[in-house]
Amino acid sequence: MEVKNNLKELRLEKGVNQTELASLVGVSRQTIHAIEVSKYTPSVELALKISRTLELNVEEIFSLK
Amino acid sequence: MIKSKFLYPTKRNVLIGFILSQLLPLIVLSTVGKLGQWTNWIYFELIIIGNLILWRTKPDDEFDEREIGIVNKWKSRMLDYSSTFILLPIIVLSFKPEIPGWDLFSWSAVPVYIVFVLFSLLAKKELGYFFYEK
Repeated sequence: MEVKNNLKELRLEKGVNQTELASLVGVSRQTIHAIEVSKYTPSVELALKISRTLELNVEEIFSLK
Repeated sequence: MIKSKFLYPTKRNVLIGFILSQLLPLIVLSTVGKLGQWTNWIYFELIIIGNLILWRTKPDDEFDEREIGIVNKWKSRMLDYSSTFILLPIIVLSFKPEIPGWDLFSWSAVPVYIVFVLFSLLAKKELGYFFYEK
């Protein structure tokens, strides 16, 4: 089963750019881009960090296909 | 205690490194009187560019989880392939022990270097950047 996400839409809704989100969660901008285009599935820790930063539940961002 | 300082391969640093490294063929070729031979220049340029590709984008502790995964994947491939080039001379020596071993092993250094450069390039392509970005 694949993990899909709507990180890009939610990030834009919150008005945060890739670079800002990357620095807030402690990863590179390329990693955020790789997650958004589903080239990389983040670890539980990173997924939780992203959801906490965007003030959302992790299930709102990530779900199983 | 000496504190190590990592020199990041920013576009500027790589350009400076490339220009400064031109001194190497200039000095070496002028001392052996082969400054005019362009084939030797090409060899040097290939090695200079190869070494610049081998320049790591940042220290280990600055890589995030995705980058560590990519770096480790390509490192293990480098070891796999380069070990083959080390094993080949050993196999050849076991059949033909009269061949000077040093000759064989010195030749295996060339494909090992090519593997390191090529795989570093592929790793950087997968990382998504060739130069250090803040």
